[in-house]
Amino acid sequence: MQRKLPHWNASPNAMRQLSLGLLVALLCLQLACTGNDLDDGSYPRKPIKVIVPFDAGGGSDTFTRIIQEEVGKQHLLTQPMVVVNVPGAGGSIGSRRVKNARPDGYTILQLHEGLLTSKYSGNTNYGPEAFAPIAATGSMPHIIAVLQESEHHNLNDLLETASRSPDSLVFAVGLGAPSHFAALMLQEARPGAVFRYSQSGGGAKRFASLLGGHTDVTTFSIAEYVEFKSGGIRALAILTPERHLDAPEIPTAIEQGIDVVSTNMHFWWAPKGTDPAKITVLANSLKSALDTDAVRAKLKQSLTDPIFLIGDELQRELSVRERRIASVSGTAPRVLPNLHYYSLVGSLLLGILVCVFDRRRRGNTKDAVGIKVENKSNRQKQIDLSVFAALVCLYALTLQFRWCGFLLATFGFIAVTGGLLSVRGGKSVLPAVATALLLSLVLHVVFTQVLVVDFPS
Amino acid sequence: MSEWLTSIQIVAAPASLSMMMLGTALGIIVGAIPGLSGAMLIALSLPLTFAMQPVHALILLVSMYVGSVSGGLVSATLLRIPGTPAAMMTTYDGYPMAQAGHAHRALGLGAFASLVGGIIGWIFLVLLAQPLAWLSLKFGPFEFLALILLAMVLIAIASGNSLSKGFLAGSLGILAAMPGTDATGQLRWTFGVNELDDGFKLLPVLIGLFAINQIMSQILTDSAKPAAIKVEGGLLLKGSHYVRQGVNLVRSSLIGVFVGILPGVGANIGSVVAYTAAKSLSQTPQRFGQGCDDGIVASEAANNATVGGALIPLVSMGIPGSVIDAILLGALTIHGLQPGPMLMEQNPEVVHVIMATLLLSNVFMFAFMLATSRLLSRLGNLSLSLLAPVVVSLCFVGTYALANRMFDVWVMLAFGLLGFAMDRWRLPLAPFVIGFVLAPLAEEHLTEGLMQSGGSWWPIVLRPLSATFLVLAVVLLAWTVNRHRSTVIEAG
Repeated sequence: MQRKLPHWNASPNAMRQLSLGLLVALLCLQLACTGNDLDDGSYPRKPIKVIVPFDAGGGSDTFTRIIQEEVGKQHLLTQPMVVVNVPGAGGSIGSRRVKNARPDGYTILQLHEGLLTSKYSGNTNYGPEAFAPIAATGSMPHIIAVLQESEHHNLNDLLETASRSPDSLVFAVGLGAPSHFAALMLQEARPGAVFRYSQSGGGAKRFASLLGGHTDVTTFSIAEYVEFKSGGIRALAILTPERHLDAPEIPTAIEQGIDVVSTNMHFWWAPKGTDPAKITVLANSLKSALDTDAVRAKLKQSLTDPIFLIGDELQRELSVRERRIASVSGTAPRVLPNLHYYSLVGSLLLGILVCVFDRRRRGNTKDAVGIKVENKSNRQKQIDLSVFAALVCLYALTLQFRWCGFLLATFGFIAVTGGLLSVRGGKSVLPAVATALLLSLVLHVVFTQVLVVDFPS
Repeated sequence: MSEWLTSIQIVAAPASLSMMMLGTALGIIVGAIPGLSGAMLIALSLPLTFAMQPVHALILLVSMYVGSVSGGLVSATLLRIPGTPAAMMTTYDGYPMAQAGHAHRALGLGAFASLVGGIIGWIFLVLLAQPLAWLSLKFGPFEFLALILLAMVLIAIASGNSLSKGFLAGSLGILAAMPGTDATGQLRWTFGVNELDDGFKLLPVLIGLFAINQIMSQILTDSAKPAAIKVEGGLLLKGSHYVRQGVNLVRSSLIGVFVGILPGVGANIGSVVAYTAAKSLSQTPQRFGQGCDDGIVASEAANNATVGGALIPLVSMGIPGSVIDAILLGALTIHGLQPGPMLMEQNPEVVHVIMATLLLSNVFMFAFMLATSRLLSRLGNLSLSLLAPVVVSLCFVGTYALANRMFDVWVMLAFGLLGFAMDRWRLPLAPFVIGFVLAPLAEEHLTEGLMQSGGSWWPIVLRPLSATFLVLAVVLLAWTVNRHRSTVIEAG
């Protein structure tokens, strides 16, 4: 082992590899620096990130990708749009990110009416006023549906039961989401009517709970309704001003004498303070995308009406919606016991119990619990571990605060950590440097070029 | 009949078959890499499939699904890091077996069990999709709640030697699941940190607990010369070895299928329940965790069987049974197919393609494992100086890609430290994970149930199914506590 130690300047081949590594590292630095170049007025100069605050494959994601694909294909913007999924907490993780993003026009949000409803259900402390709206594209009407065998044949039947015996009909909704507010508006339209709300996430789940007989009535988007129609459900009403072309047999609520309109809409938002000229550029490209045959055909398939609103029209639509939503109270009923406190108390009690048991057992058997490492090398290894932990933290901090790009940070981390550990073990550092070079490049290419991940650059 | 013929023609086309091989291989590789998960691969590949024909897209995604569930076996066995959450239980017996010089045997057993589990899951998907999906609809929130409680009891029993430590670990897992958004959408314990609004996600927690923790422990214990894993014997065992596992294989697969059908529960829980069952019913439970065949077989058969199980509600009702199934559902919609109860009638070829892919990619998976096992086994001999930084940076990428944010990476590092501390205190990790996974599910169903019943708790004991599960849970708990007490007294 010992005689192999001075290894790194031994072979010319190794030197060549090392210098290559340095070269690439320098290139990366270069790349990292070119990220924030001067703004000479033209826009966009780099890809525009569209934050979709839901998982890949969901309705919002699919819709955004249909538009994004067409924007790219038809070169509607001089730079591509990139879809970045930031799921979590009903969309608020993603919307908050855009709210706090730099208003430079390179980070925008695609979020439906959930942005409005989550404000009025108390899930977020901001609403549309915290953003600069770009456009509304596509509207999806809500449909009220029951089981095929249900005794309710129209909306009046349903509301009659709800007011005759309040709090008996179970209404499956996503608490705080547009589906919940549609139900609340319905309830508001008939004095005395009270539904019992039950939390059920997506359309598929609401369908399942309806079929299983666990809930009595629910809200679907028209696309969900058409999807599940043949599974044994029946529509009572569509919440649009007029009957829908794709489902002309469903009467509107207004026809039935109940003045409720509720449709979900896809909105595009920019951070507040974004240059209006940039917003116009974005809105125009969305409009052109929406007008292509390809997008029209795809939207028709998913039963989304290709409406398009900008400027004053959009502001008006937003304030009408906000007024409608604000008129009902959508705070969730408190049914749950304080499970988090119980779990805390439970853990503490169990912790004490285990401590007591352990002490008693250790008293009985003189079993030395702990890692068996020879004392001499023990210290050295603890130092190794501390250094390793410090390097990992440095790597994370670098990426967190974007001190340099992902490529360089990863290369540096693997090379330095691997190198140090190799030297400790009396081995050559070359494999570590080579691995660092290879892996950081491969990861960077795979995750940013093939797959779309928004690494710090 | 003619529609079957068209379906066979679609699947047997060279393009489809190569797509299947590609998907399976990619799935296995990503599954085997600690930090990268199958769900991530499939979510990130989804946009790539837009340009493909719908059937090809589905073939690719389903085979990735199968591959990724199976691939976790490799790193679980060789590195004691489950490549995917589903392979968590495989580490318990796979790693000791590999350390004892039988890496090949462990891989071979795991791959074979995966194959059998996959096939049994497939049989259920093909023959019983409709009735099983209807049965699962009858499960209301209270039935789910009782079932989850039963699972929690089962699992606390399973792990480790100390019952109280198992419970403590489980309870800590529940505690870790509490911050974030509760089942009614209200924030809880986020301490004003907005990034915490969604709580801790499963993947960063798991990767931290297993991968980061394992790397730290290895740095601390790594001897100057790593104990090279010797590769002895062939990958395929004698027939009698497989026959001896027959009952275990079938039982674990059935458990996997059933757990898979239940929405949101997934492959990780399937393998834990199967492992627990195998251990509880074994004549020699003390051999579990020391590198015995039964443990590997139970875990791997079950996790592959959940794939078929989870596809049942997807194919027959349009209801996703797991995260990956939800992405598959999205893929169907993107390609203009209408998921839902009518999928079978309107697009039978799509359903047949999904079924055929499930079967064939399991076969490809087995072939791939056989072909590459010698190469893979070398992974265990990789020197720590390379392994440590590489695994850490892969874990960074995997957790970052979840929601494109660094917060999840910090969560992973924090749980790495926690896992490290838990190992020092001899607290088992599996119950922690189970508590962490099941608590939010239990809470969700409890909320739903209480909202439907108007706040009444009675249905949980009045509804026959939930009452049965609950009684079972109590009996099991009492029996275990009693058994443990008597052994402690004997020992004392």
